[in-house]
Amino acid sequence: MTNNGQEEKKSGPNLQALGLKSSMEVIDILGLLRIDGEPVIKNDQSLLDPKDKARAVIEYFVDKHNLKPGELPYVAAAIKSELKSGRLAWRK
Amino acid sequence: MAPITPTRIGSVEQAPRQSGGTPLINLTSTELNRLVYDVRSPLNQAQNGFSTRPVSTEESQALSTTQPQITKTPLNLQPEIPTETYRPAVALAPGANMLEVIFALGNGQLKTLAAQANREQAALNNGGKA
Repeated sequence: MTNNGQEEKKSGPNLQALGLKSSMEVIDILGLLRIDGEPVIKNDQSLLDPKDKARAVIEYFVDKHNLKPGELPYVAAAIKSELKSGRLAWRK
Repeated sequence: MAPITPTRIGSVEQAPRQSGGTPLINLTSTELNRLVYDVRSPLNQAQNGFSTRPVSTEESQALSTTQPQITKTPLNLQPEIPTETYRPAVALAPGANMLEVIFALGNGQLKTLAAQANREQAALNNGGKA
């Protein structure tokens, strides 16, 4: 494995290279999702506490979709690019 | 200026209220699975040098029915040993190509042959004594 791979394993992916500003943006994007009509964050109080919000988002994707926490930034980046390109849209 | 009266206050139009709730991004689980696959395949390629494509059950059934069954025959590498006592180390399908032979031999037989070749070379270097 290359040095980059080892670094990535230790500190996670390079968020800037993925077009993300911070790790909280990953949580914010994933926290806004409603999958099959079910919101990722069910308890509104979790929205007020960043740690609580992050925990709720990570738990949802790990438990329900078998995603590894390290894969979440890539999924968030994919969703962000789909939003920018208009393939995904915001809903009120 | 007219005095402020309850009537005047009552006539002021209220600004329309914004609809409550946070905007959400609607996704179906199929769309999410597609995104996850799009994310995982380059990751797998980067980590393992190959990617795994999910195969539908129909496709795997079709593959299993169309491909003929391959019967493997033992490859006798030591013909001096009688067939009854010979225990082949490898078994190859008829018409196996050279790469398959090398791969099968590499599972142990090749190592034995290499060790034997080393012993013989050492014996030659030692004046023909083992």
